[in-house]
Formats: sequence, C-alpha cells, structure tokens
Amino acid sequence: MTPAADRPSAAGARYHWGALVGGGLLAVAGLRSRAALGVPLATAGAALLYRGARKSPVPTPGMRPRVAAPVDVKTSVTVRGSPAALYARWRDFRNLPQFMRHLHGIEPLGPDSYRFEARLPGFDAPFRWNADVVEDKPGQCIRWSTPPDSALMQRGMVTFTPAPGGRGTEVHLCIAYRPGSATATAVTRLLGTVNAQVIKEELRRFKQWMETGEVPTIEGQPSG
Amino acid sequence: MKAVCWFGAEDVRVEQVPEPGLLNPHDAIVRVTRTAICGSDLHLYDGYIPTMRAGDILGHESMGEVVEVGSAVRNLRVGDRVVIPFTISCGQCDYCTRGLYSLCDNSNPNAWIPERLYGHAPAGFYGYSHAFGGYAGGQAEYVRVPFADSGPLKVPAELRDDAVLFLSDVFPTGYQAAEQCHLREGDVVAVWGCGPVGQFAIQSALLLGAERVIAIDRIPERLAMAETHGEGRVQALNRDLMDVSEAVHDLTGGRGPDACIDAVGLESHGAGLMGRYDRVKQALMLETDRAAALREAIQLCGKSGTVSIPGVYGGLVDKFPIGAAFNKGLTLKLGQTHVQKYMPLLLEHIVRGDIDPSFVITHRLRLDDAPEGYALFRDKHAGCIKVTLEP
Repeated sequence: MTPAADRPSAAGARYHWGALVGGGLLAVAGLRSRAALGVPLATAGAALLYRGARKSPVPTPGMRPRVAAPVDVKTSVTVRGSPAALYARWRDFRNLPQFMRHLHGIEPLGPDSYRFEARLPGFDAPFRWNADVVEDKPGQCIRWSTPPDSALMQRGMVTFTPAPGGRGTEVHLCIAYRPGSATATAVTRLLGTVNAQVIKEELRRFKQWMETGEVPTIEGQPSG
Repeated sequence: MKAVCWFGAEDVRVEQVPEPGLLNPHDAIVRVTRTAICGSDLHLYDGYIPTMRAGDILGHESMGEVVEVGSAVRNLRVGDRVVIPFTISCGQCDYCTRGLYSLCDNSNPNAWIPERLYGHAPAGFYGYSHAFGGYAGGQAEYVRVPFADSGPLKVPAELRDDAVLFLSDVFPTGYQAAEQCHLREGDVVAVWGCGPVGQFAIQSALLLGAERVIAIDRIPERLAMAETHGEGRVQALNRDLMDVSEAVHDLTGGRGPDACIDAVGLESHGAGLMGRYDRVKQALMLETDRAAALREAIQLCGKSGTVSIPGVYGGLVDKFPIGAAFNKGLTLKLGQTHVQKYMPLLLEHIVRGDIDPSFVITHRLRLDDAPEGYALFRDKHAGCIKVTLEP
C-alpha cells in the first residue's frame, strides 16, 4: 500500500500555504476595516483560510471527477497505553464505528470475517461489504482486506509499536479504498466521503477515546 | 439564559440563548457567579482572531457553583464552588500528565485547524474561536465544563469571588511568565504592558524574589497601580515621557534587565517609524501581528537573559530581531498558560494573604453591561484596567 496518492505536490503545498497565509491576512484586514469592503474581504479571506486549512485540492479547470478516485491514506498518532491494550480494543472490530464515523456498523460473520456497513447520503439502504482479517499479530499488527471480486476493494493495516521513553504506543494506520468489480454509484459515493482528513480524524478519535473514554464535542452547546 | 455573544468586530451583544446541558460523561455544568473580560478577549473584539462565528459565547475567566455533573465525574459534586481554568485539559494525555495542560492532546474538537496553521494543536479554550475548540464561553449565566475532573479548582467559602476569580487566567498567566524567567538573587525584571497580566507578572516577579521590577507602559493609571502595589521595588517608566531604551540602560547600570516580559502581545501600539511600519504592513495584509513590545524587549534584554512572552500572538511578525536574540544568548519562553499547574499554589498565596488579586479590578458591571465593558476596556476609558461581570 503506497501513500503516494496522499502526498501533496510542491505546487499543492505552495497553494495551501498561500491560501492559509493570504486567507488569514485577508480575513484580518477585512475584519479590521470598517469600510463597506470589510465584510466581503473578511469573508473571502475566511473562505481562503478555510480552504487552505482543509487542504482542499488545488482548483483546476475542468475538475470534479465523475469516476471514483482511489483513496490511499497513511497516518499515525501516539497514544498513551500499551500496544497490547490498544491492539485488543481495535481487534474487536465491533468497536471501530465508535471512532470511525464513516462506518455505521460492523457485524462479525466469523472469527476473522466481518460485514462492514456505511450509510451514504442519498441512499436509503445501507451499503455493505465483507472484509476478512488476513494478518493478525497480537499486540503488533492487524491487516484486513475485502475478498477478490468485491464491488468495493478495501484494505486496512494498523500497527502498534512502543514509542521511545515510555511515551505510549505509536499507532500507524493505512487505509485504501478502490472501486472493485462493479462501478456502482454507491461505491463512487463512498469513495467521495472518505479522504485523508476523515481518516486522520478517525485515528484522532481512537486516541481520544482510548485516553479519556470520550470524544470531545461542542455539538449541542448553546450559541446566540 | 443570558450570554455575551460575539457577532463581529466591535459587535458584542447580550442575548437570550438555551442553557447548556451535559454532552459527555466528564462534563459538569456551572452556574456562573462572576466572570471577567480578558485582554485577550479584546483581540476577538477587535476582529484579529479568525474562525469566530456569529453567536459564539465569549468568556474564559469564570467561576461559580456546580449545578450538574456527568456520570464519569469523580472530583466534583453539585454545590461545589469552583474557579474554572481557561484551558480545557483532559488530564490523561502525555502533556497533561506532565503538567503541560495548555498543550492537551485531546480537548480540541477542531484540532485540525491549528494543526494546519501551527503543525500541532494546543488545548481547547473557552470562548476563543473555533480554531481553539469553539467551546461556548463563561460570560453567561451557565457554562458547560468539559473534562471537569481536571479543570475546576474548589475554593473555600470564606474567600470572596473577587479574590479568587483571577486564578482562572490572568494571575497564573502572569505567574508562569515570571516563573519561567528562573530568577536568581539580584535579578532585575522589565515588564512591557501593565494591564492585568502585566500587573500579575510584576507581583509574581516580586514573590519570586526579583530585586527590582521596571514597569513599562504609556497609561499613567496602570503605571501608578504597578508602583502602588510594588512594595517600593517597582520603577514605572512612561514611554510617552521618556526614552525607554535609555532609562532601562541607566536603571540596570548598563547591563540590561536579566529578564524581560512581553505582556502586550499582537496589538502592540508601537511608536515612531517602526510603529507606523507595522500598522501599514498589517493594513496591507503582509503581517498579522504587531510586535513592537517584543522587539524592544529582545533589544534591551541583557546578555544571557530570558525573554518571557505571556502576550498572545497568533500568526506572523516581521522584523523579528533574531540576531540580537542569538548573539546575546537569550532564552525565549512562550506559550499559553498551564493554568491547572499553578492554581493550587496561587490559591495558597491568596489564603496566606501574600496577595489579593482583586486590586486590578476597576469596573464591576452587570453581565447586561458587557458591551459597555468591552468598549471601556479596549479604549482604556475611565481608568479601566479590569472589568468583572456579574450575571
């Protein structure tokens, strides 16, 4: 599994930094200005800042792919806790939807076999696929994959290695999604909802959940 | 309930909003008895901090009574009287367990925003933009306190709200600024900015054994406050009336201060050519932060000294005198305050009578009068140094 698809180009990096810095400055200047131009300036700046921060792709003419682009994500986080404890929590795949919000449910079909379920916007029925654990080293590594000829190809690998100096455990996660035997609209839609930032946030939630027992939120708080 | 909401630059209103509820097992709800406007709130008021949304509830210096606790809360009970630190900290991550509470890994639901800007994200804070978590603030009748086991400090009933409220931010912030100067016998400390953080930096430097403190500002009443509470060890310099560089040189026998504290931050006024340069660059969007005080502190600091920065910075500065810092072997110490680390110690100082932090309060207003309070504080009208609000 290569992380190449996730690696930003130099031009991309320049665009993102330009958007971040320029957007921040525009927003600040707009907010400072009491003239009529202030609000649109601040809004444009904020939009650019948001775009830079979200690392959205560099806009090019004719973008908007209609075919499902493969998703290839590699990310890592350090979690307080032993490799064995983190492994055990992950190995019970029914726990995954607790922190992987692009998954709606996981049902065990056998000791090494699971049915994954995702709910997609615009589809009434949940989208399901099967995946098997293909490598399992207790306390070290779990690898899972869809069987050949699936409508959707999904592969994942998570490794748990002790961080130096008692800093916990380094958790490295690789996730790949590809359209499989059928080019179903649902597959395209699913691949459109999963990207590097989504997976990064899911791994962050794993850390938050393991370290504190909850995931921080502001959903449902009051505002004026 | 009533809450102070941000709607835009210089647009702060008291609105009716729903009361907060428990959202997570480690949450608590506190009925606010007293809250304050912080100098850093003025950066929001002036529109310098991006990722604010219209309607966001402001305020990160609050205290009150616990009225509800989540199922997982162990350290607090309904009825406890608490001061709430502005830093939201999980208490469990590597940083929290090392006492570095403002660097908590787990409390910011929007960590991705500062990660893009800074590489890594600090903790979440109350009422301080969505980049720092988007948490509703405490300038309201009630506030939700996440990770309530590792935040609120219980305070004895006999201490007035006035006396303990500033444990939430400005007192620990001034204290951390002074502590990280690692003062030795005979050290002279210079403090830029005599707002509330500057006042507490001065008080803390005195507590920590500074020989003398040089207080630098341009507002006469702030300088007078520093001198009045300075036990005869504070020398005030009004930069409108004298050449600060020359005065600091003379007051330290040419050595320069052993430690310099920038309690001004990103809206430094600056004067002369450099001040105008910063204003022009900021207006032209070529710089986000004005750093006149910081530049001067680095320039005047004595060799091998420490420049400690409690003043808030958010983005980029220009003409940073790295050569002066390098060739004089300076130490720079900066960062948000690890409030929880200092609260118990500073409460002890208050209980013992070493300090009564209420001396900085110049205006006690009702929560309804918050908009007036923001304007007074920002414009430094009517001798305004610190505003508290009572819901």
